[in-house]
Amino acid sequence: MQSPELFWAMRILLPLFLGAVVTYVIGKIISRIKGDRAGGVVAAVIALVVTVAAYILCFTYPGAASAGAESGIAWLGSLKPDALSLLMAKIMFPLVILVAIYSLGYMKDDSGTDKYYALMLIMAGGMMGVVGAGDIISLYVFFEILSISSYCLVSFRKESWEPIEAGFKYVIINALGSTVAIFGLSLLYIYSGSVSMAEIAAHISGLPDLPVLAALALITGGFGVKAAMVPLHSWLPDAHSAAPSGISALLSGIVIQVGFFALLRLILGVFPLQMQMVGTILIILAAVTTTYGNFIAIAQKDIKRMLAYSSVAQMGYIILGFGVGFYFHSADGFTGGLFHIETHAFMKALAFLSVGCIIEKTGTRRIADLKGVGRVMPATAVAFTIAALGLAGIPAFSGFMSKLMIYKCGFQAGTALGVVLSSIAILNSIISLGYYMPAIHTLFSPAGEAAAKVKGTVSPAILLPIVIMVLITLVLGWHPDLGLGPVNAAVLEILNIIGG
Amino acid sequence: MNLAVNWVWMLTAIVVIAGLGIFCIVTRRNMFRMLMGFTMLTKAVTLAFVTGGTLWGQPGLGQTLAIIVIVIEAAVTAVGLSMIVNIYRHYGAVNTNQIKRLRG
Amino acid sequence: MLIYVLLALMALSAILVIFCRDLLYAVISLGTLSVFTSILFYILGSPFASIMELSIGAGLITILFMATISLVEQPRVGHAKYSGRSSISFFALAAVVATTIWVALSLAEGVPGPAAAASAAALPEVLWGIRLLDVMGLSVVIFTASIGIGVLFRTEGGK
Repeated sequence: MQSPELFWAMRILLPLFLGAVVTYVIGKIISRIKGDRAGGVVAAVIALVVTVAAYILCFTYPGAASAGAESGIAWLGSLKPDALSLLMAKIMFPLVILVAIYSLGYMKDDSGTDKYYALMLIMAGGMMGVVGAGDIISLYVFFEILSISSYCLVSFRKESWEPIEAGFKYVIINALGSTVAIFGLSLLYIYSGSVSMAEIAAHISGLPDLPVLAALALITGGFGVKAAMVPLHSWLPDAHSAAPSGISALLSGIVIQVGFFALLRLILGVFPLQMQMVGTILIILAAVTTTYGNFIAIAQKDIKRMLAYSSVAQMGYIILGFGVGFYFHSADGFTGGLFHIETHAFMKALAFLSVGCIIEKTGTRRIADLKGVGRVMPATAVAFTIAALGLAGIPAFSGFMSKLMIYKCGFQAGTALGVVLSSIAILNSIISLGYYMPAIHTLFSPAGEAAAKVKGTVSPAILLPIVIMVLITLVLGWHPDLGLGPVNAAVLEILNIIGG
Repeated sequence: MNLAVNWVWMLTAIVVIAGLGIFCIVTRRNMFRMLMGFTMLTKAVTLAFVTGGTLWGQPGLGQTLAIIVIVIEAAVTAVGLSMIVNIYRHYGAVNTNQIKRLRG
Repeated sequence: MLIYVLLALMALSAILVIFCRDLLYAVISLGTLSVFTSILFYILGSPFASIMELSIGAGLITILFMATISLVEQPRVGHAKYSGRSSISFFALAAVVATTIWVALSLAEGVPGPAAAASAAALPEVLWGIRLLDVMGLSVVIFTASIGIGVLFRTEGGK
C-alpha cells in the first residue's frame, strides 16, 4: 500500500510542477514556430491534460487504509497529507480546470500565454504543497512558490498601469506577511530546536507563556495578511480587481482560503493548548472582517472591487465557522467553515468569470454603466445573478446551505455569545443583499450605452465553465450532501487532532 | 560549539533588526527602500535560524534553513525589482505617494 | 566580544539603510549589513550559510538593487524629500527600538542554554538528505521567479 506522503509527492505535486515545465517549454517552442496564439492554445491544452490527470489521480488516495504505511524515504517526512488536504485538492482541481478552459477564450488576445498557464500550474502545485505540508519549512517554501506565482499572475497584463501598481502593493504587503510568519516560525525553532510540528508542540508546552504568545501573534499576523483578515486586507481589493478575471476567480476562490488553511494547520499542529484563545481571536477578527467587508462593498462603484470586498466578507464567514469550532469545540463550526470554503469557491469564481465576460464585451467596470447588459447577454447575466444570490445566502443556492450551518452552530452552542454571533452573521447576509440587488437590478434595467456596444456571441470556451459552475451552485443548494462527503472526512480528521 | 555569548543579546539583536525591517517597510515611501526593509527582515530570520542551530547543536539543520530563506529572499527581491522597473515605465516615479491612484 | 561588536554594527547599518538620504548609500549599507551577518554566521560555526549570505545577500542582491536604481533613478531624486519629517522619524525609530528591546528581553525566558553538538548532522546530509523536498521546492521557486520576470519584461505586442 502506498503511503500518503509518497502518493502526494508522486501523483499531485510531481505532475503539477513537471507539467509546468513541459507547458512552458512546449508552449514557447510552438509560439516561436506558429505564433503566439497557437503557443497559448497548446500550453492551455497541456495544462488541462495535466490538471485533469492529477484530479483523477487524487481519487485514488489511499486514505485511512494506509495510515501505518511507511514510504521508506526520509525526505518525504516533511509532507503529511490527510483528509483536510484531500478536501482542498478536490475543491482546487475543478476550479483550476474550469479557469484554464475559461482562459482559452478570455486570454486569447494576450501575449505570453504560455507563461500564463505554466504559472497557473505552479500556483496549483504551490497550493497543494501548502495543504500537504507536514513541517514548518516545507509549509513556508510552498507558500512562497504560491505567492511568487500569484504576484506575477496579478500583474500579467503589464501594459496598463493598474495591474502593475496593484502588483507591487501585493508583493510588498504579502512579502511582509509571509516573512513575519516565518520570523514567528524561526522563533519557534529557537525555542524548540525542531521543525516538525509535533515536536515543536511537545517542546513549547513546557515554555512560559510570553514567547509562545509572541510566536503565535507573529504567525497569525503573517498568515492573516494572506487570508485578508480585516486590518490586513488592504492589498486584496486592488490585486483581485486588477488581475485578469480568471486569476481573480482563483485568488478569491481558493488562494486566500489556502492562506487561512496554513494558519489552521499551524494552530492544529503546534498550538493545541492555545486553542480556546485562538478561537476567541478568530471570532473577533471574523465579526470585524465580515461587517467591514460588507459595508465597504456597498460603497463600491466598480463591480470587480465590489466582488473583491465581498470576498473579504465571505472570508469572515469562513473564519467565523472555525473560530466557533475552536471556541466551543463544536464539530458543526468546522463543517460550516469547510463547506463554506467549498461552496464559496464555486460561487465566487462564477461571479468573477461572468463579470469578466461582461467587462470584456462592454469595456467598462463601472456598475452604473452596465445598464441593460442583461438584456443583450442574458446567459452571462443570469449566471451572475445566480452567483450573487448564492453569495448573499438566498435559499435554494449553495451559499445558503453552508451559511445555514454556520448560523446553526452559533445557536447550538447555546450561550449568549453564540446567539450574538449567529445574529451578526444573519444580519450581514441581509446587508450583503444591499449591494448585490442594485447590481442585478442595473444589469436587467432598460438598455443603456454599454449594452449597445455588445456585439458577437460569447465564445463556448467562456460559456462552458460558467454553465458548469451554475450547475454546481444549484445542485449543492438542493442536495448539499453531495458535497459534504469529503468535508465530513476532513472534520473527523480535525476532531481527531483536537480530541474533541 | 562553546561560545561565550549571552544569547539574550543575540535574540535582542534579531528582534531589533526585524523591527527595523518592518519599520522600514511601513514608514518609507520609496519603493526601493521598502524592498530593502523586506531584505533586512529576512536577514533577521536567517540569523534566528543559524542561532537556533547553534543553540541546539544542529549546525547542519540551522544552516539549511538559513540557505532556504536566503534563496527565497533573492527570488522575491528580483520579482519586486522588476515590478519597480515596470512602475517606473508607467509613471516615471518610484515613490508611492507620487503614484497612488488605487484607493484603499 | 567580537559578536557584540558585530551585532551593534548590524543594527547601525540597518538604521543607515532606513535613514540614509542617497539610495545608493542605502544599498551599500544593506550590503554591509549582509557582510556583517555573514561574518557572524561564520563565528557561529555555519560556514556554508556564511558563504551563501556573502554571495547572494551581499553580492547578488546588492548588484540587483544597484543595477535597478541606476536604471530608474535620476541623479538628484532621493534628496530633499524628508528633511522636515526626519526628527519625527527618529522619535518613532527610538520608540520602535525601545519596544523591540523590551519585547526581546521578556522573550528571553525560554531560550535554552547552548547545547553540545550532540546530534550534529553535517550540512550536506541535511540539505540533500532529509530536506531534499525543500531543495526541490527551491528550484521551483527559482524557475517561477524567472518565468515571472519573463512575464514582467515580455516585449511581444500585448492587448
